[in-house]
Amino acid sequence: MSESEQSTRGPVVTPARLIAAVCVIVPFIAVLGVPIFDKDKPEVAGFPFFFWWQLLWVAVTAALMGLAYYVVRREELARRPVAVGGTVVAAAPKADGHDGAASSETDGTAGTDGTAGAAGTEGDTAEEGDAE
Amino acid sequence: MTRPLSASSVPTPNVGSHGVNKTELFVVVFFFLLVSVLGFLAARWRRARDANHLEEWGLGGRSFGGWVTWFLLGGDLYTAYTFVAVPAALTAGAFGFFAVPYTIIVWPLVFLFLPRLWSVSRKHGYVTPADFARGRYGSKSLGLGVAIVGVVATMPYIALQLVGIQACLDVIGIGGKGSSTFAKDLPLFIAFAVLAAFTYTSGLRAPAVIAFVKDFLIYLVIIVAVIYIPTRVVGGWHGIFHLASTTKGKTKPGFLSLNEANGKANAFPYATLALGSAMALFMYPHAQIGVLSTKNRNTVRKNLAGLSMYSLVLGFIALLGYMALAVGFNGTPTGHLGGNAQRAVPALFDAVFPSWFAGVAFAAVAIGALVPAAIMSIAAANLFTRNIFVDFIKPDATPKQQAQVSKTVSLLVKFGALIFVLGLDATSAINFQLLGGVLILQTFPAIVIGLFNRWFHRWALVAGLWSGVIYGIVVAWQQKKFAADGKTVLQQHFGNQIAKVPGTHLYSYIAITALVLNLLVAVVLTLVFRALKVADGVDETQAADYTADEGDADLPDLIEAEPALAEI
Repeated sequence: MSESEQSTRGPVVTPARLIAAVCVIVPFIAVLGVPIFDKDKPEVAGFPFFFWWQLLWVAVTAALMGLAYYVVRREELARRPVAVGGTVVAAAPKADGHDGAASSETDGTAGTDGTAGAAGTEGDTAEEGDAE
Repeated sequence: MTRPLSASSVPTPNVGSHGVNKTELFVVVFFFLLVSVLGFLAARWRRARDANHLEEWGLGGRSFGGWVTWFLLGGDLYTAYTFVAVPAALTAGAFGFFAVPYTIIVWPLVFLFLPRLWSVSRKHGYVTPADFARGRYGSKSLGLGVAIVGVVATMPYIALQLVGIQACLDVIGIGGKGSSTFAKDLPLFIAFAVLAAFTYTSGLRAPAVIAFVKDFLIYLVIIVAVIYIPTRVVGGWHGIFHLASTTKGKTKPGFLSLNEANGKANAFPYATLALGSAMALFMYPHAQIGVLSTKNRNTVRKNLAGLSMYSLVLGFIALLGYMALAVGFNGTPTGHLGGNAQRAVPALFDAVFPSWFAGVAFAAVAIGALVPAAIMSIAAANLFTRNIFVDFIKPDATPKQQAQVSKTVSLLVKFGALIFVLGLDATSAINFQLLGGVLILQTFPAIVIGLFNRWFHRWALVAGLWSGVIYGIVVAWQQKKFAADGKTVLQQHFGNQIAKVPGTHLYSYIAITALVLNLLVAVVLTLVFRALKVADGVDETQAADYTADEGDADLPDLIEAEPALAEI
């Protein structure tokens, strides 16, 4: 089931998502890898290394978040019109409401049909590893 | 005239040695009255047709755009934690700086999972994290677990806000003296009453409106402090770091980096404190409120770069702790703070600023504690109402009854916080927040992992949650707090949030150790329950729900806000 879902959403790994993933991961390494910056020299503007390194990463992370948003959003917008042009637009959400509560087995059918699936972002990779 | 690198131009009066500083008191009272009026008026701002509905009182009608969100989320980060507890932690060494990596990595985490939480919540009308857990796993028990933990974990965090207000009032000169608990804590009770009153009447709109005033004051104070105070210390920033890290000409270990303290042993606790705090932040019901009340899926993501600015400011605020050390304040009995490091920042402001501006600074800190305390108590109240009251006590409660219960519970939660303040040692307030983190982080698997994957069995998650919580509480309970000599026990229980990881030589933030246990239990029991074919709940959500956005045809209607104002 999850395979068919992914196939209609286009490739799971795209350059945009890859860039976003890097933007998200790098700050963790930079500020949680304590041995990288656990020293007082060299000093910059009176700040020991330990302090300015971490403060610097606030700004770097801000920039990375901006970049990640930009690439993911651009890809989202590029995909969305394709799905909206599709014929399933009106039908899919309705199917949603009916099948939904009845059985978890049918999960993802609406997504397969496309509408909201187009808005998918990097998170979809791990989408719904459902019960079975 | 002065010796090099001395801070002699700044006086360091003992806290509590002078009478009430009337100018400071007047300015603080003025701003308090101002925000109180704003708080009550807020009930009329963008009023919906049905103000007594929970989605309205508790989520501001889900109508907040980018700007309001920026301020509202700021309310989650700029709290007494930032202003009082973190600088106070830095007076004991560079270790307290973990708050900076914490607030750095919180944004990439948010980028990953919050849009999905927004979408699924919007689609299914979820107001609380527990709503999601219940819907996703078809398990009221899981919803109940998440709700109980959320309500309890919020209390010490609110308690921290009260400690922050108290520190300011101590420095102004009211309270802190007198022998009876009542006389000593009178200002605390007053602040508490004001907070309770406007939250009760205005719901989320009150803190959202006041947040504007608060952030304006905070930025003003911080910019002035960060530019002005280094000019008062000979040697500027270099002088501040030098003076903070030396005592009588000798370098103290652990002030210019962690490494000097006791080898590499501090690295792991530092990293786990940062990671655990970051993962915990958006599990708090109040932080999720800031997100769920936004207009569309990408409002938060779009603002992440801007929100990171909060972290930068937090970093500089943290260094106020070093500035306080540099001019001679510290938490020791001879450190002019009456032995209470929480007073470091207010005392610093009092010493370097003219009285009127010190008053503005105290108002900023006090209001900066009130706003998040209000949001937190509203969020905890929502949680109780939705996932305990309606699910287990009165399933047929009308929206009006629900809003009423929420209002009442928001009061009770604040009383719970008051008990924390009076019952635990308030001289290391950062412990309050970290204790809350130990608890709330245990909901991470049910919420965040649940957003991406539904592999876990519902009962395994329930078991994991409670294992983590119980382990965390027991271990935290066992931690003693020692005096500087390393022997005298200052506090028997909850003295520290770092403990040895069983079976290793590592020390770690208890929250992370407990989370690992939580996950282990959940994984093992999921396999067991699957093998035994124990019924797994029905998942009411679908893949597409996690990417739903404003404007989709099938979203449920919201209660309408006045359209002209919804664009702010």
